[in-house]
Amino acid sequence: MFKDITIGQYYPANSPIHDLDPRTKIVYTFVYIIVLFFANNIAGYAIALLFLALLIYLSNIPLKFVFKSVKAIIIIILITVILNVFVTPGYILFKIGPLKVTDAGLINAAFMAVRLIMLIIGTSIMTLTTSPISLTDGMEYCMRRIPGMRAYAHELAMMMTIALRFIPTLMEEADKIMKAQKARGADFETGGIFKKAKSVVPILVPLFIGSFKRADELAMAMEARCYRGGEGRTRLNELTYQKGDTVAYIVTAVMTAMIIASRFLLLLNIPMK
Amino acid sequence: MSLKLLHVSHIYAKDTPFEFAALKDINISIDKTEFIAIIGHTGSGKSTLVQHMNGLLLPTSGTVFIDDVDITQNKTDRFNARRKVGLVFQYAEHQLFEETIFKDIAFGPKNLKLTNEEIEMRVSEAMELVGLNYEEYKDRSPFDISGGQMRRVAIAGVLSMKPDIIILDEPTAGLDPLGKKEILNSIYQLYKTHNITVILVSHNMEEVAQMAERIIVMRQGGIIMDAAPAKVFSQAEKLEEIGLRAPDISYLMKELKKHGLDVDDKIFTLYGANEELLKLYKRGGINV
Repeated sequence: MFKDITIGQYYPANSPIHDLDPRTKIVYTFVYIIVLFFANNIAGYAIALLFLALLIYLSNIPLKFVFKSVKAIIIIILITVILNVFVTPGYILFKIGPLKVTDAGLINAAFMAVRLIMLIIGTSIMTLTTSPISLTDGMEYCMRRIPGMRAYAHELAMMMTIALRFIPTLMEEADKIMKAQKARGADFETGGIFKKAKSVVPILVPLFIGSFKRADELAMAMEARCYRGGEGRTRLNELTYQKGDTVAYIVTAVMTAMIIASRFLLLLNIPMK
Repeated sequence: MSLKLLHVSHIYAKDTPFEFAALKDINISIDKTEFIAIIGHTGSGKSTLVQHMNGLLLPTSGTVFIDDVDITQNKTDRFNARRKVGLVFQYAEHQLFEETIFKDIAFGPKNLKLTNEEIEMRVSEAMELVGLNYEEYKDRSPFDISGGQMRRVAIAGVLSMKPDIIILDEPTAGLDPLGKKEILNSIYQLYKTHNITVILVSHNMEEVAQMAERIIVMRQGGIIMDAAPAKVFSQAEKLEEIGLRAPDISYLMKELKKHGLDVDDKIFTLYGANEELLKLYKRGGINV
């Protein structure tokens, strides 16, 4: 039951995207998210889609995995689409009871859905191609550049690293405790909501006790190795940019320029919508 | 009472890059009260195997029969299977959750919807079986007692279901020598006096040699030996190849024989070695 979570799951493979510096991928994803909201006509989306397709192709990740993350937010997409179809004012195409369907509503809904799907796929490419550890490394470097964040960058990154590190451990532990209670005849599947809520107590109590113990031991082990935060701390592997990163930054700039330019196609009297 | 595994295979994370075949075509048949040990190197599939025996894991292919009922088919059969086949996990004390020891051990019988008197009877019986005084311990918190005692509470929690087969996954891991001895004694008593089939997953050859009547040796998800201890331990080289070894006594006897003493080098228990050396001494084969 815990094996269906894909958001943030690393897919090990050999590809130029996997080899990029995590900072490059973070910056690219950040820019990509913002730029997606700049796109306001088919040309803009087509350009973004082109770059996304190129990214997926280069990353060597099976399409099945790429689309798994979309499944997780399908309900959010559906709600957005429904709201957009019925709420946007415009030329009324037809009515279902008190609900009006407008042409602008349909177009808006379609754009929204595409935008959301592309957002999720674009960001999950980052987490699929970057191991959690190098991702937090990249974040630490990026956070240091933000004024006022420098002092906390290391602590935040360390917290994230530890949290990420223990997610699989906790899931394994929860799975094991659940099985142990099942072996004693516990039933987690049938019964009403109240009974179900009550049935998680035998899982949660041991899980919490275990986590507190583990946190305590980890803190002790870190202190025993003289850990005292980020101040003056050096790293074993400094992040360095490679040739591929330069190319990636150029591609990012080109994509941004093209999508922003696409907004002005209308002004040039080229009908796109 | 019978337990049968037919052509059982299990693949973790099928169809992902993390795919891993943990069990490959396992066939086991248990049809009488026996003391069975499962040994194997870390990652050989022992824990995965025992979880198939009460339906906690379902085989990717193959079938599991308990009393001639195929438990891979529906949930009710699996639920009944868990009453018949008790499983004590590794570090079982991590599953304790109730406020008192009584309540924790009663969790299983309660799930079986037994009457309060029956539950009380079973809890006190299970506690005595693992060597915990009922009156003294029943109202204490399971988190205030020693690690060894916690583990015994956890074992009692499974025993209170009155299983026909009890599986213990490394029940002595991480305990001090005294704690180990107490748990092993309880388990052996259980087998001797209550007619329960015991399946012991273990790394410790001495433990296994002392108690088991049948040993299943696993390697990379398959069974490579399933025989009586004497036969298994006579193939010490084969065991060493897969990162295990025969009990120390067995090496000692071989060494003695090599140095010209007239002893049986098939002996692998402390007790047997003691007898054999005494016999030899009486025959005048040893000059002290």
